[in-house]
Amino acid sequence: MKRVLIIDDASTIRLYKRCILEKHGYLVEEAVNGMEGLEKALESHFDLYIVDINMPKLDGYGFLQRIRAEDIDQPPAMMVSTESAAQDKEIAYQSGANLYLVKPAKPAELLTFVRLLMGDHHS
Amino acid sequence: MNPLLQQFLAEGRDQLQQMSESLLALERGEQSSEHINELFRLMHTLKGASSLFTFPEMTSVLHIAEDLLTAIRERPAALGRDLTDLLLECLDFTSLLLDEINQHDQPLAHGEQSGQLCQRLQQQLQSWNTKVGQNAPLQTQEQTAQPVPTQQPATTATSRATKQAAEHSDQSSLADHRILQSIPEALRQQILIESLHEPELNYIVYRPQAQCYFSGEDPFFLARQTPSCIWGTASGSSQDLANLDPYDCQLVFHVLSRASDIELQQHFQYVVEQIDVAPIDARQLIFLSSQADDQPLSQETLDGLHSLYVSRNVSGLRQRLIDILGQIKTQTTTASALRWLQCAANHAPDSPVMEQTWQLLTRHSQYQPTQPGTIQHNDVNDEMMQRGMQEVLATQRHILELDHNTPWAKGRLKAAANSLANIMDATGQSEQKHHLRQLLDESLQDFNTRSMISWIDNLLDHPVAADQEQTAATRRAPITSQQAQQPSSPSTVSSPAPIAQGSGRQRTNPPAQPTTPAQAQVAASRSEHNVAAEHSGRARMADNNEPELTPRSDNSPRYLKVDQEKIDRLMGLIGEMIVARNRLPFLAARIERMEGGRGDPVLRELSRDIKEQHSLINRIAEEMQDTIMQIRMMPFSSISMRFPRLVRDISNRLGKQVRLEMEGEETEADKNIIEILAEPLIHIVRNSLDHGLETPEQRLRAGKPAEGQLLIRASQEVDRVLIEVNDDGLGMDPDVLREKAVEKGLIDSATAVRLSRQECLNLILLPGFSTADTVTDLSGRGVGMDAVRRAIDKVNGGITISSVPGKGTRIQIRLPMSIAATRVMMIETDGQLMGIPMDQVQETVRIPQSAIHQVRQQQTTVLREQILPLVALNDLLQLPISTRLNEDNEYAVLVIRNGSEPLGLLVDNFRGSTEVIQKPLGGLLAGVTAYTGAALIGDGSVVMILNLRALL
Repeated sequence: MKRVLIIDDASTIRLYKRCILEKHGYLVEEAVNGMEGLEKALESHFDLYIVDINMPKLDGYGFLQRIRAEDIDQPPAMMVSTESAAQDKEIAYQSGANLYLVKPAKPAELLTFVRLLMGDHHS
Repeated sequence: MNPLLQQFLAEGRDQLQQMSESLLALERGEQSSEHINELFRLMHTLKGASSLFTFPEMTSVLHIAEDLLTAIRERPAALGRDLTDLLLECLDFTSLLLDEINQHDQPLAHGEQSGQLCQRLQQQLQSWNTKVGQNAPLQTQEQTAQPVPTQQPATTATSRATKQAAEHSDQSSLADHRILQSIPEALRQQILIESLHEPELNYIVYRPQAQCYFSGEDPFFLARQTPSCIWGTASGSSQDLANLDPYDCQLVFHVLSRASDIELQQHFQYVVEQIDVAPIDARQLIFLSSQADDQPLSQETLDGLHSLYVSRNVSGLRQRLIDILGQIKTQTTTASALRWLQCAANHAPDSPVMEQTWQLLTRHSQYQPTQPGTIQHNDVNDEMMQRGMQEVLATQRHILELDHNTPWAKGRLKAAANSLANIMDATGQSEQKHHLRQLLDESLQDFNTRSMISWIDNLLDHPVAADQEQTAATRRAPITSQQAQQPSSPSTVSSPAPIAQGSGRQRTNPPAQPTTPAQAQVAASRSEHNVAAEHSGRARMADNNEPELTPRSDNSPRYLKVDQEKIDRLMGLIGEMIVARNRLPFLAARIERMEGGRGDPVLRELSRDIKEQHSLINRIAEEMQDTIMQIRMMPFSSISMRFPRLVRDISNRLGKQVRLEMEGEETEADKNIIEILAEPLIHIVRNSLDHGLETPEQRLRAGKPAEGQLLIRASQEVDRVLIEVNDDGLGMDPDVLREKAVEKGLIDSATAVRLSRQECLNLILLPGFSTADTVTDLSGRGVGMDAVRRAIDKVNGGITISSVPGKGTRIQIRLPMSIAATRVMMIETDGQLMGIPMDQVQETVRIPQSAIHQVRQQQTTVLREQILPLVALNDLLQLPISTRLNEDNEYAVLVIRNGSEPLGLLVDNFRGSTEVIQKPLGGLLAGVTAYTGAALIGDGSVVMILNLRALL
């Protein structure tokens, strides 16, 4: 089973995504800030990171920049945030995100991109 | 309740609490940037989570609050009390909604309250921006007209500032558009709504004569008194500052009124030639509030709205508008257009107003409906995958074009390649992966991503012509920087591919859009369900791909929410079990007492077995009891966390400066105890703030620091919880208290003289005692300290007051940690067994008769060089029997705590301690105050538990 790391400080959002992903057979691990995300990401392999932007300790951009600087098998990362401003998106790509979604992402939308980024066909 | 919602409630409450702490810290002036960032982050997170559900009022309040915090964060300055109050109010409002959601699964409607709150936040936002002087205020400069209905007088300054506007209005038609523009949008909408039922609407222009002040006229008053006035403004009429005569009236008044022409003529009858009245259509008020920058809606969003609009799906439209408005900035023109549409959809869906507001939006957004195409499911389907693929490919292409001068560029490149490889898997083109790997390896060597980009371009569909210009423009910047590094592959520049970085409108190349209205409606309503999902619709879940929002068991939350009654029941059961357990030693003893019991090996063994079982059951029962008690334990912080806010609010209101310190918030006690403590503590804290602590001036005069100190401390004392409230305020003078008590007839003067200092302080616990000369709205609402004492007595606690005049007061409350099982000391008196709660017993001693002395009327003895007054229990119970001595002529003395003074209680004998479950006395016995209750002990007999407090 493929593993997803959800990094978000809002437990409600984590639960929301966890439910969607687990329903479709993904294993989900959670981290409550970028720092914890970094620890978990370096500890074991994940197939996708789903990262929030605003978080205490280390924000989403910081997490991406630091994980992309590591010598690991870089999995795709999806950034999800309420900000829809173009410059936020650009910073996300600069920092190493592979996709930027504006939340609340609809389950079908989230799932589409999760599958694409993890290489799973929907049928 | 749906687990997602539950999570939201729990998290939301936490966040509100943290936000209020940050706010208070900010107000105290602690490292502001850290707290403001924290505050902003929490507000942002909470708003984000709230938008998963449909709580429009909550989301809109939080949204504006977040905007306000953004403004504050960007241009920090000291948060005033007003602003803090307002933000706290937002938190309170949100908290109220959370409570309602908890009860009803949905918040109740608070239209007026939330609207008002939003409006005030908006005002603060504007004034903040103005204050810091960077962003221009919402109204354009030439129209800073003052609305008449507010309290502000139309000063000369105002008229000067607005004279330009007046110039224009004087020359143009009666209802000048520029004047109308100064009516706030919300008010215009309200007028529009009201006009649906009450079409009469008149626009009045009143130009008082320049000399009117000399004839005793008050034009401002007259204008303000316009009958049925809805709105008004005053502007200046003269432009020439140099020749301005300050004694002339320069004002022109513009008023909107619902009064009829006749009524208006009557009102202005003495100046009738100075006014112009013309009816105005409320629809003239429908226009956008123009703002500097805007946030355009995507084609998709507009298509969604369009299909709802054409299908006349008003409820769907309303819902969608709430959603969209929750996501975009409130001050944008687009938001203004959406609000007008919302106003029409909510109040006049069938009138021409609806059409007018729709056009307002489409014209502003330059919207052309997308041609209806194929059906869009809410599931993931091939088409969505196809579209998603295009977007992800384009995004990776964009990423590959980024500047590679960062330490993480290599990782980013690998991640993009991994994403691309996965897309190949997902779309059934796995054979491409091998080639891709080769390209990646090449690229990693010199960061030349050209070959990978061309590879993506081959995969991408031919872009739609309309997109080309736009995408080329957005891409130009990164490309030029790269061309400087390696000027290869000009073909890429000339054949641009769509890039999914801008708004959704840029990705119009996918072949299909939602949409016949009916289909869009279905899709929208399904997705709503989806987001606020209950997992009731299992049948529905089975045949589509919507997530089932039930967490899997191995990952379910570690907390369990249990009805308190169930735990109480468990507590009752364990109590009964303890009583049953206590019966076992009696059984063993009975066997031993049986004829030949001691000699009979079988019986002896049986007795030993029973004792063994007893100790086993004993261990299990104790552990069980401990565990259940643990379940019921709550930290002191669960009530103390409200104190910072309480102290702040009250001290602000009283104009006092108070620093609150709290200690031992982690101290735990039984839920019932903690809950019972809450009210009395608030009362004590209020008293301290109101009567104890002085105003800064008084304090400075008394040589104390201006800031008063209030310390609330919780700690554990063996089996009791000690709560202390200390203040360094006025303190209480025992003599004053004594006089008061006599004055109020609570005690007679003879008794008063005999009272010790400590006893005088205790007078405040008497019903009907209040030292405050004036009754304020804070304390002294008729619930005095006697109510506090009653509450504490009820759980068998004690209260101790100590005070030094001029220095401060300390109130200590001691409470048992649990109220379920009580440990009692069994004593014997007059041949009866009785129990005394252990927490009142300090020690047991035996005192020889010879060591007892008569001092005045009081028997006393000396215990460890301290005088110990003695009282016979028999006397207290009015039993006409003297206390028995043992063989060595000693009395059994129980040293008990009586307030802070120890007291010796003479009894016949001690019988050890045991745990009992107290039952209150009922029926006829309910009025007997000498006992707190009765309990069943091991041998099945009933013992009475003494209420020493009532007896002494």
